[in-house]
Amino acid sequence: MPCGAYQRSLSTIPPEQMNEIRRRLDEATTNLIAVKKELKIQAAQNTTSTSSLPTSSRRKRHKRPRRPVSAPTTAQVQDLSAWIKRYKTALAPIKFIPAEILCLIFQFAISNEPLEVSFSTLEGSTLIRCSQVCTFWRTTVLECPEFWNDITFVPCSTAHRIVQDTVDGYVPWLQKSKSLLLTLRLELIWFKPAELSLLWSPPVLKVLAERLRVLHLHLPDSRLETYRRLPVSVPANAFDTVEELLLSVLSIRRYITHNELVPAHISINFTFKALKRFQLRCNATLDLDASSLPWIQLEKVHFQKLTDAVCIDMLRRMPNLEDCTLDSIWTDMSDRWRWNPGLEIRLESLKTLSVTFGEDDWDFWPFFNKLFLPKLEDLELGSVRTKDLYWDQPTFEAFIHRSRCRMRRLSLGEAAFGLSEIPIATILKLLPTLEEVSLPGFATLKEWEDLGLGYIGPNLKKLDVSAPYWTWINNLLSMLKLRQGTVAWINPNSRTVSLIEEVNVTTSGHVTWDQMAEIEKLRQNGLKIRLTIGWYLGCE
Amino acid sequence: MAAPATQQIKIRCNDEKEFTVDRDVLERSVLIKNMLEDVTEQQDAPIPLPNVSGPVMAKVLEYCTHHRGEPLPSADTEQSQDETRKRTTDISEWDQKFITVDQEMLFEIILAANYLDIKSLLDVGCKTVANMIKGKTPEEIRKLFNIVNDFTPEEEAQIKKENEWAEDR
Repeated sequence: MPCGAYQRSLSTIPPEQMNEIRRRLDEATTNLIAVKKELKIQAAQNTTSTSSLPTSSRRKRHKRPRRPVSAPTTAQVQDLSAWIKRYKTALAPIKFIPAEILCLIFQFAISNEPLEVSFSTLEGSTLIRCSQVCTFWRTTVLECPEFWNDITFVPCSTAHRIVQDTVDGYVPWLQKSKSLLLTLRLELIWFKPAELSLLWSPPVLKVLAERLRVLHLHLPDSRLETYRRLPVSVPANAFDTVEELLLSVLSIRRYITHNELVPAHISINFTFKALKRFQLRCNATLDLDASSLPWIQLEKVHFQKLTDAVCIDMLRRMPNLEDCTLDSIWTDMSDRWRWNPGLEIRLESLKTLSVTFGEDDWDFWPFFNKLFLPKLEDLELGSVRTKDLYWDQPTFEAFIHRSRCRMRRLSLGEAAFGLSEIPIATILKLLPTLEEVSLPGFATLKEWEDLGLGYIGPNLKKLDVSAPYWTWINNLLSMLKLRQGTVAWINPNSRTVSLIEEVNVTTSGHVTWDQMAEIEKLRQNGLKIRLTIGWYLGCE
Repeated sequence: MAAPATQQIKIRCNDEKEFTVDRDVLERSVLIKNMLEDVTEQQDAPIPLPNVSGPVMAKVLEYCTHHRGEPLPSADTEQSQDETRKRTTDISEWDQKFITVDQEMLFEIILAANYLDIKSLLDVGCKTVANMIKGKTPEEIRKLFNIVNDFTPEEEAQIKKENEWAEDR
């Protein structure tokens, strides 16, 4: 339970009393309807508009004396409405929900909504609004520490007083998190050095640093100097409870031109004894030798906008790495690592590798050629935005032979755009352990005999593929067969059968009614099947 | 020894309404599953469920029947405290239709799911209420759920102060 300590007894009303309240509510509702009806009749009789009536009737009507709306009847409506409200409140089903379930409801209500301490955001937060509904909801919100241990700090102004007020203001909120470790995201892009010093001041750090589990720090590169001065006022072991560190250094110069980039050198001088996950997003150069990060214990890294040379240098220090994301990496042409034939990036614990290509050119395959990943289970090559990633089939095949990994998930993203049936068949034959295959950019498709997907191994559970022509959908559907009330994937070429669970197909071509009927039949037999019509448009 | 999956189990609700249900359907409820595991001999007497009424149990069984065979959440899949804000309020299409009921039934289902320990159903109910809350002001929430504003003047003043602080940022 999320916060069993705050469990409160249910508002219990004896069943007899409940029934009595219900009876009275029904009675009051019936009376209210009757009174409103009577009022309506009276209003109709008092109206002067009789144009629709026949002349004789109009005359008769005019002769009738007007009856004023009786005060007691109007009062009756108000009285009955008030009683109905009271009865409904007494019977309100939410009253019977205990605090621990209310906590769970609030947790869902604030999902993906960080508690952002900045202008206007606290008031707008669902959590704060829930705390202002009634005393029970307020107590529940304020006494559940899980709601208060994740804070994003975004000061709206760099004015010294406002920063000080904000710091003063959010410390009491943080105290509601009691002894839980904290997640703190500091968005300090527009901070002036003086304000940063204020934030790093010992009293604030005393509240925060010793209890941090997650620290996300967003800085502009012009503020790096302040960061470098930080160790002067803070002990090296100040962040020893931090398990996740994100250091994002935004450089405006980076967006002008590469040649103008003057990388700043930063070092991380804290011990970070508990660190397991590290994200580095910056154009600045990390001084690896001067940094005291516990490289050997890192399990998950996310590097963004770094050079491949820096990535290699860091990765080679992380033998226990399990999960690695490389995002928008760019080629450092001045580096000579690529011409070192003996260089190998051995990550013997790595299970997940995700590579997302950005706007910059990255000569990816020489890097890939250095990888040795024997435990790799999940490989994802993400989107290519401005530059096509040419597919280097020999390097990819050499990697599989070299690493001998038992891959479970393969997603080639738009990298698969240039792939044809034969290389796909070769890859699938080399990776018989695949459970999930994603080829959303797979465009070069031929006839049935050549269908590369027919070589998928017997473990296939999920397939994500594009089918540019309606005839190809027929081929795909012909491999999905009903067997004893479930759907099976029949591999005509590898002669294996997989119990497939999910298929996502994107097509730019026509879909016939027969195909739609077939898809519906598969769906009714438990297959999660999704058809997207529109090439890369995502419209269904 | 485990009983066969087709074994029929009787349950009795607090309004004396009885249901005879396949064991694997009932075992979506951790409470009933544990009760059945504790009973070594087959018994004909229905399992009493004093906290659930017949109509609510009928809805719960509809849910359990639809989701029979799906893996039960294990301790490993429980989300840790630092993932509070990573929960999603997505509800599958079938579950959404299933949970489209009046407020009284919705909260009865939530309470029954909590009592019977059916985590996935409890989540569906709580997500539905969470989605009803999202984007609403305190006053709108009060109106929606018939909640009385019972704050003392001191508490009202404190709330006003909190809002002022937030507005000033």
